[in-house]
Amino acid sequence: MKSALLPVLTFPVLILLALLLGACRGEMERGDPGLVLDVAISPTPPAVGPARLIITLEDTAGAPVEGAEIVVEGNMSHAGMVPVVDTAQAEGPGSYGISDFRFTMAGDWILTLRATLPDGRWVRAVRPTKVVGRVGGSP
Amino acid sequence: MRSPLLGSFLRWRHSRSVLQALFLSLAILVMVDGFWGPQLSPKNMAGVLPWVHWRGFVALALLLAGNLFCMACPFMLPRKLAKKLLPADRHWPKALRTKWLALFLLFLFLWAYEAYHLWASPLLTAWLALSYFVAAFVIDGFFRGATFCKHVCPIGQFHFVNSLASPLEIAVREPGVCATCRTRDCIVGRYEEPRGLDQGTEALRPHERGKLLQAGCELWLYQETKTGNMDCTFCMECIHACPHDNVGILTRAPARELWEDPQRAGVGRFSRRPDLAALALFLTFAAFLNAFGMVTPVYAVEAWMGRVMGTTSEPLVIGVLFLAGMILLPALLVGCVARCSASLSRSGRTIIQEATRYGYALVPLGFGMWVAHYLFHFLVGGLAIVPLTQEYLAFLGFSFPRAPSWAVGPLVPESWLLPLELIFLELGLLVSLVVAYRIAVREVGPGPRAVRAFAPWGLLALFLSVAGVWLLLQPMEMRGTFMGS
Repeated sequence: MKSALLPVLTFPVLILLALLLGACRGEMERGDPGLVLDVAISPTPPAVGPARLIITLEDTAGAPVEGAEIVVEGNMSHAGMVPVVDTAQAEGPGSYGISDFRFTMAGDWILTLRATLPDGRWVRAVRPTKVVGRVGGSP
Repeated sequence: MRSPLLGSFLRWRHSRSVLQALFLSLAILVMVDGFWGPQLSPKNMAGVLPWVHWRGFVALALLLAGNLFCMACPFMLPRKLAKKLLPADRHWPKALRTKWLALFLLFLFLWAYEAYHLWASPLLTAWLALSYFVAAFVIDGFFRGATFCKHVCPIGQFHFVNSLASPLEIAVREPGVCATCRTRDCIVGRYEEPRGLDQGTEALRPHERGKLLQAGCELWLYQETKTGNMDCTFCMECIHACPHDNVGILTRAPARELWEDPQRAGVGRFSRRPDLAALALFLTFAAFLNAFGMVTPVYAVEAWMGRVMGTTSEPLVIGVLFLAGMILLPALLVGCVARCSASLSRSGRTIIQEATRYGYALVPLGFGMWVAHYLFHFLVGGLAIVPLTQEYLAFLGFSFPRAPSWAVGPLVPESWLLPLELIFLELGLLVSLVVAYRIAVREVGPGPRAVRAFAPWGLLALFLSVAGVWLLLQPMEMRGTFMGS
């Protein structure tokens, strides 16, 4: 009897354990609500290869925010593809840029930007974008 | 089964439960992270484990061993609970004791995967896994045996069909031992009270025989006449039930069972199962269409279809594309080929009779394409599990000397990927050609008639292989958003 019950008892215990573990994880936090982070991509739509990212960081009143470190991570919608990670350079008040962000494959990308200020405040923005294929070749 | 460590483990009565518990915990992890974790597929267990690792390991297991993933299927543990809590005494309706329902569900699964971008949605992946648990629980809770596995489970059908080309099977060691066996424990199970037949007395009914000590095959595959891997979940009940230790996991010539046509226990003759042949053909063509969904030209096709149909609904367009590419076009192609084959060999058979005999020949080619596709994802993204696990554990308070590095490379040099994919595809073609010829010899005897019967099927396999090469050479495009957005 004991052996027959083994798998039956294992089942709820495992569920309980995993629920407890997973409950600690959640959707990615957006950070300080007083900061607004945005990105524009050139060319539009971006193609496989290098693209320019123009990033703006402002407060909710529209005042530019300077001195941030901004890291951009590009992931494809399909798991398992190597992400592209780059750091933006300051280009003016509240303006940052990456001149050579390399999209490695056509398809749907999700850009995750994280700006961190010297005082520890941070904000995250997520931007889905569609990358088109290069004409006449495999990416 | 006789190897020192692995054999001892597999002979242990609870070995399958241990494997299932391991996979169950992974499935729960997928569901929990899918429901409550970050909805970015590469950063979620539900995006990585099922669509990168599970599919890759399934392909490898089928290629190198057999149906190991049905053996470790996590959906079967709750089913054990269902068998205890619910009556499980009904017979599955006779009209549904075929593969047609499973084929329809497989179509639905592949369509939903593409139309709703399951690979890009941890939430939908989690719902899919949960639905699977509920379906297995309910169906096997009310119906006898392993009804869910045999007649419903779409993933199981994928394993059954492709394992026809695998090198391992569960089979008897000495047929002579089965011929003298009086108890048939491998099919009826072993009870406290012997069955009676072995003592030369009147047979006892199951309820008169006390407690069931070891179940027999729940998919009704009687070992003495069981042939091959069709419908075999590698559950090992027969191995544990056999009082003569005469059943084991044995090696064999891969794909041989595709050209042999004996009366198979629980299955019948392949040549008299149009539903099985349809499933095999469906999976072959689905392998190519599934890969087509990942290359750049699919955009142009979808856009053209959308314009013609006057819609921007991707589920609708993909539904029509899949209906055409997985059902109508294959039916047309196979119908023409079967007609030619019957005419050239003067077999006198109808198109369906001919296709039901030769359709299995395309299984290795389809399998080659599935392996090429699934292994590509696994080889490219297999290491993504490392930073993901690191991040997951970091959430739970574990600390690591370094932050997770997401820029992990492929498991093999990138330049190997295309040659490897082509090797799997062409190996599949080669085996398909051999199988088609052997079927032709079986059906019309050796000689020119066999060549004439084989030729149309060989050409179809060649055509599909060329289509596969073209697909593998196309630029890939990973989609996941609404069409036209």
